[in-house]
Amino acid sequence: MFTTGSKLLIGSSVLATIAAVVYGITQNEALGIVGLVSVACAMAFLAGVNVWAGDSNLSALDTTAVATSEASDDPPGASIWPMVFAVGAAAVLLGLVTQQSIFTIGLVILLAAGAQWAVQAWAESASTDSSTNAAVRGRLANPLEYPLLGAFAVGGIAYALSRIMLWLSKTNTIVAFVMLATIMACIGFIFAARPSLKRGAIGGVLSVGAVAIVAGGVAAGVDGQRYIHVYETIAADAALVCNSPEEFEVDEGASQTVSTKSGTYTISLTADGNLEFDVPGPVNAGAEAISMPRSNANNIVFRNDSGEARRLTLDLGPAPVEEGAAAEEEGHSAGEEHGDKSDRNLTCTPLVEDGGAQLITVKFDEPSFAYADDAEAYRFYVPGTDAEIDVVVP
Amino acid sequence: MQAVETTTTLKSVTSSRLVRTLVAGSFAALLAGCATDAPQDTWQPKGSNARMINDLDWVVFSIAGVVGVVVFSVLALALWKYRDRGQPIPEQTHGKPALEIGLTILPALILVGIAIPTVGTIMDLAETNDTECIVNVTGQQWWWEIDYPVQDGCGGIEEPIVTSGQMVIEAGTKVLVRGTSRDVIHSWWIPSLNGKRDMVPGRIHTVRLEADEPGIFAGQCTEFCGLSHANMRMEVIAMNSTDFAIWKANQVQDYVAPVAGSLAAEGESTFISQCSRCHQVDGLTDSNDELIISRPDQNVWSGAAPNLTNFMTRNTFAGASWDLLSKECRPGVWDASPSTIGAAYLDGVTDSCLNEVELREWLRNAPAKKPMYADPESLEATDGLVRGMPYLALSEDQIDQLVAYLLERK
Repeated sequence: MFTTGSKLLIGSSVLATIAAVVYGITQNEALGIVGLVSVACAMAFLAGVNVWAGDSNLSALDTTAVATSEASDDPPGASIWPMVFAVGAAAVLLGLVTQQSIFTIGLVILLAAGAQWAVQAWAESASTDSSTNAAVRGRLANPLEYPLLGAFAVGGIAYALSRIMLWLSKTNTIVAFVMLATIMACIGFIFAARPSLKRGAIGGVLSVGAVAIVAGGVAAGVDGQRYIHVYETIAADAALVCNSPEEFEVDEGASQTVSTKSGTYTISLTADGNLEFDVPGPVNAGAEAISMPRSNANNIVFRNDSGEARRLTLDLGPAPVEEGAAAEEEGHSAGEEHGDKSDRNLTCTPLVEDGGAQLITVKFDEPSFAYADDAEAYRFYVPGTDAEIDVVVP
Repeated sequence: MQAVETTTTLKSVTSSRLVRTLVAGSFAALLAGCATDAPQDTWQPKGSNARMINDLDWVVFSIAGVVGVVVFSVLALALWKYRDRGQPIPEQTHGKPALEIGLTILPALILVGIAIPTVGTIMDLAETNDTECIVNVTGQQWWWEIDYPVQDGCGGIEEPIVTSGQMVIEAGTKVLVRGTSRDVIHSWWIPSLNGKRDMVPGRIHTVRLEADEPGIFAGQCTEFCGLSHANMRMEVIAMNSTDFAIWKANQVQDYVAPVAGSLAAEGESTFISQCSRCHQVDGLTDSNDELIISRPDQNVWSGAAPNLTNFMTRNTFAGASWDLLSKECRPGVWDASPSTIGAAYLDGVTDSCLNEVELREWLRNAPAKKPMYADPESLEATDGLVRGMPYLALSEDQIDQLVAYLLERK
């Protein structure tokens, strides 16, 4: 028979279902329908549990039940996990109709709270002694909880430190963190040298330190990071940079080594000022140009052994004409464009010091014969020298 | 008692069925090794490189076979001789150093014995300085582009040749395949000519090929590369030097436009309007006599589509997955003897030998024939670019025109 509690839950579920249908017909809006259907499902689930458990009703005439029924056992301890589980479930439902990130966070909360809840419930059935049950729970859960909590704590501290680092100026960061590291080393030394120190004192010092770091991180994060100069890229003014052997801002601090040691094209500027190229396997005997596939990210290592800082430039043909500038361009032949390098589509490496190397990735959208009348297109050259190599794109 | 007997009988029947299934499965697997029509059989080398691998395989498998027989025999003997017959548990000993050291040294010696020819073979296979012809291959979803750069090798190539799906080489010539990929990792493998070589985007890889005599050698991509990985095939066509010279000359001939007013001429117009934005036909011009340059990078995720300049000189299409030759004509090329295969291949695909049904199916709805990511509604991840050939909604008249036009591309 259905108990009073079951009837209430069944009725709630039916009501929520009707409400969902009515809402759906009148409002035609997904979020509300999902919410009401979720309520209906939740109520139906609870009603099912209630019916299955018989509402835990005991007959008033059953006098032995006072001592023998499950209700006579010690009640389970207070637990926060059902509430956290509910928060997770709500986030999952909300995430399904809003954002995937909310769904993911909800799922993590749901699984973690579910696991904790299950472990706690399992541990509480181990014996009638609550301290024993707590020990049972700890034996199962602590090996997982401590590393995870430790990881979160370390992660939080590290993140806070990074915010502080980005907030301070470069110089102050070095000074501050040298001092911080010294203080931490000193505290560690004191803890090690004085084993008689009370655990409370040690915990207090560590807690105050952790709170201070996190608070500093929060404050630094809120205030924002220091000004960090954004360097210009070659693409910002390729026509100027790629045609000059001079040093520009883009060249400052450029790496002079590459990790790629094989499997790429290599172009070297030799001591006598010539460009030589190499590829895996034998070089095409009889070929005067490098052959590179079309529409492909071709990686080229440029090595400079010329004795002076140089860059490698690639001429990719006439620069695309921007809308609005088309009228001005009319009448300009390809030959005229060659004289003015600003009309060329160029890319290049940063300045490479003598003995250094740089990697450049280039892509050719059209075959060479598209530029059959353009002598400068698809050509590697080194500004400030006469060295050049043609590229054939089949 | 009856229940126990029934359970025992059921277990016996189940066990018997399992044994029968295992035996039948093993027998079927064994018989599969006897297939004669197996063009990708690694045990039938047709060139020096594949033969090196095959020779090494025999050494390694022979040693492994002997080891396997010895190990399983000893295991079976121990299981049978010391099976549980109710005897008391024997005296337990804590290790036997001499036996343990011996059983460590013996496998180590066997491995060293295997390593010597293995390393030697690997180094021999990696050698490329002796190659006489360079061919570039570029993989993309789901076909191979093959190009021949300008060089003195390959009997001399004065202008680049671009083709796809089928690599033509001279028999008896060591060919350097220099490869890369435009999108994801692919792997080049012609089993009867050499081992596999992964083609990684942004990197250049080399592998050497050599065919003993003229023939067609099949292969396929062997690195899972997406939806139509299984349909990414290729062939190497080896021919004698005379035929190879003819093939090279044919590949760089000037474009010949269809006769005005013909169906093929209409096909040229259809090709320009529907196909040329991705597919290059060298020498094709527009109404202003300007060269038409395809821009597959604006339409296709890999940035490339097969060059169709000499389409009918190949005999497969769509990643070498389907024959351009009809079933009746195919054996005339694929089963030709080494002395006649070159001439048969050079005939190309004629009107009477065209596999028109499948070519039309392809033109009618390419994604329906070969799984590809070409649905315009699901291309957000690729910024609207297709992977493979999209559905072009061509009319039957347009398909007629294109077939007529493509038949002249040789």
